[in-house]
Amino acid sequence: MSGPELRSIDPGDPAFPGRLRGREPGVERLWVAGADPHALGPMIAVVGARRATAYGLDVARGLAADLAAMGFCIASGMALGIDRAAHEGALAVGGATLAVLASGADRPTPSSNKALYERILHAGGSIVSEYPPGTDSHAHHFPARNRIIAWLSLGTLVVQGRSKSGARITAGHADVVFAVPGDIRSPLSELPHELLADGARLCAGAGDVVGEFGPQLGWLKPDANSRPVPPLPPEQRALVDALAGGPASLDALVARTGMQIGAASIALTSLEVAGVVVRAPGGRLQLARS
Amino acid sequence: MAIVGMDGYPIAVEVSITQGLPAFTIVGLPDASIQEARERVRAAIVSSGESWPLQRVTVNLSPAHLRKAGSAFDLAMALGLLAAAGRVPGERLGGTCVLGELSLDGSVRPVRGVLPAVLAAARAGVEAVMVPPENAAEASLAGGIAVLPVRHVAQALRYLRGEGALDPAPPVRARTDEDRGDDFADVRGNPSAKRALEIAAVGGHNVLMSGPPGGGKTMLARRMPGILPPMTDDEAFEVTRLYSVAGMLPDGQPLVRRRPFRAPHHSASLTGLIGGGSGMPHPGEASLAHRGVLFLDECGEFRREVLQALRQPLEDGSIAIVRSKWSVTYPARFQLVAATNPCPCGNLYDETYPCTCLPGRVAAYQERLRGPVFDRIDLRVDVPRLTKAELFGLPDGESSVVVAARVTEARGAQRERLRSARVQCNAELPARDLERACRLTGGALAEIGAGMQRLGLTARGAHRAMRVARSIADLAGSDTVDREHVAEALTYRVGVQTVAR
Repeated sequence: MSGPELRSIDPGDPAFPGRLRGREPGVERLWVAGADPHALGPMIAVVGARRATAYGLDVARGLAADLAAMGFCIASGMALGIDRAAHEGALAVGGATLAVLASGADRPTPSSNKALYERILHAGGSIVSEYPPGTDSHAHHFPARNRIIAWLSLGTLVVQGRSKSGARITAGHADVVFAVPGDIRSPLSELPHELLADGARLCAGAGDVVGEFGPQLGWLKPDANSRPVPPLPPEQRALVDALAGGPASLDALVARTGMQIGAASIALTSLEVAGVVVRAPGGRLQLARS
Repeated sequence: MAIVGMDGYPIAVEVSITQGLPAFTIVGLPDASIQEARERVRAAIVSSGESWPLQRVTVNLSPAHLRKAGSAFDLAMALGLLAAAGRVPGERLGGTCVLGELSLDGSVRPVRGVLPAVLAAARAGVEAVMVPPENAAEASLAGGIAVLPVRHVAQALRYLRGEGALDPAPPVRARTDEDRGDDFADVRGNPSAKRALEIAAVGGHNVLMSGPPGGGKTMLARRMPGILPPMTDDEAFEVTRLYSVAGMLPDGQPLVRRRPFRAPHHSASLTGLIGGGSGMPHPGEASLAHRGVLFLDECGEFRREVLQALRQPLEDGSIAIVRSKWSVTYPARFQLVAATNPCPCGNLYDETYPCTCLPGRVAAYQERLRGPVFDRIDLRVDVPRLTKAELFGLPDGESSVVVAARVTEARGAQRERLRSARVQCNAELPARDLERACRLTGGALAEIGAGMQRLGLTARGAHRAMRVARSIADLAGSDTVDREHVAEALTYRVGVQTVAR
């Protein structure tokens, strides 16, 4: 297998990311495959649990897509779960994304993310590592890798994680921490809720991140809550209103609206065909991102 | 009587006693279980107070080319032997069919396959049949033949000598009470799954339920037979015959009135599911589900070749078991209800709990839900895990009787319409000419088109949606399939390109 071409940059190189200078313990050398990190625009890290729920994956993908569409580069660690969803979200809207690996930058780790590795490079993204080509990942590499993700990014967004998740380390190095609240019954909400209690910024949408950094970048904060409201028949209107509370199964929608199952099915199919509602795998229905 | 498949064939038991060294031989293609009958017959005769003839005894089971198995010939051999030895008069044995296994103490024990055997006997013009008392009710279902329950060899001997009578079993009155098993009303919530099962019951569609463990998939499936229309007398008789062959008739309930529900475990073998086996071939689970529901829980875990074997019954409604020397056909027209977890751990797509499966395993698991058997599933419904609030906040559902009444009415309209198409139910409508056979309106066709364009519906998926929409229209009492029927059918769609996660 011939891997991608790697080059190494050290702090003396003008291409070395400025945000990594003057940090302790410092990064002495960065191996890069694909685009130069500084060419990718301002970065936001999106990190979280490997074993995430449908909610977490959906939120990570959605926030990454929204932020990437506004011009942010999404930085993450290419791990399974939230990391992967974040990269995918950026790629889905043609945005920039960067992965920091705990192995050499020529080795897609974990190997099941090989296809994602190639998509990132193919889409003009960047894969970086402080370890020389051919290095395997070791347990102690991961915390070190996490500090680079945090340092490269203006802010770090934690989506899901248990209390002892590696994402806590990323957040610990971050200049600004955002956390996405979760279901209080889920153990995966431990970390984001603890971070919020410790003073992290609440992230309930891409607008919260843009509101933080937009002024310094000279961007305008978009109205995150605007959604064109097409005129709808009453049953469809009722379902859209019920879905504004979050994704739901057909059964839950019937319970929320008090509609008959047949009538609800008919209205939902019309909404799906119109592109207002999408059906996620597993049968959950949610409003399409406009 | 020998049983081959669902049919009985008369077997003559001939006994010859000649001079020679004492011996007891059985000829006429007997299998091992019949060879063992020698010991049972000998002990039973001695136990009933008769002495064993110390001569050369040969029993011939004719016609000799037919393979015989099982213990049902025991009593006939014992009575024939004693008649040949001149211990009892043989007149009353002529024109009588004898069935029963012997115990060593001479008592008569029940056997399987009595109903088809007695039916064949009645057809052959036999006037009376001796049966074990446990099988008397079952034998009486055949009608047109006197049923004589025999408890013990000695009792039969007294009858043959004219010293006592055998009381004929009274004709059985088929029970007409509606026994529907578990009630639909027990299931709270899950309105979409209930609706899907109701639609499936109308059109004879196969269903796949997908959802995490504990969501109620099994509970729902168990209640599926109860919402189907009651079996006709012919259907009930057919099922009873099958269960008689399988030796599985419930005690004290000669005629099976309740539609079968069979739920084989996913470790089931090919023979267990479709039938066969050495000797007298057994009907498999697919046949035992005839006219009822075959429930495959964790359907992705079944062995591939076992699932593939269901293709024939799903297409033909019967299973042919072919071996080198014989072949039998068992009916197997069942409705398939399959259930699966979304992934090995079951939490994929769950809002609260994380999926702990490795990504490769999820794809491999879902890949198993493909193939010819799954191509025959028209409806797919997600059964999410209910939250505590949902579970306790919901009222009881409709009872099975109410749902079954709707289904029965919808089926009536369906039968009228399908008469010209020469199929039994909407699920069997062939793909060609589906639009006309279903009576789709322009609006319905436009909705199908929109589904194909906007929802990733495949051509095969469109055909399924049409059949399901037809059943929904039947349920609504509509002669034509309108736009809204298709729209609802698309809720339960299969044949959609799945979105990669």
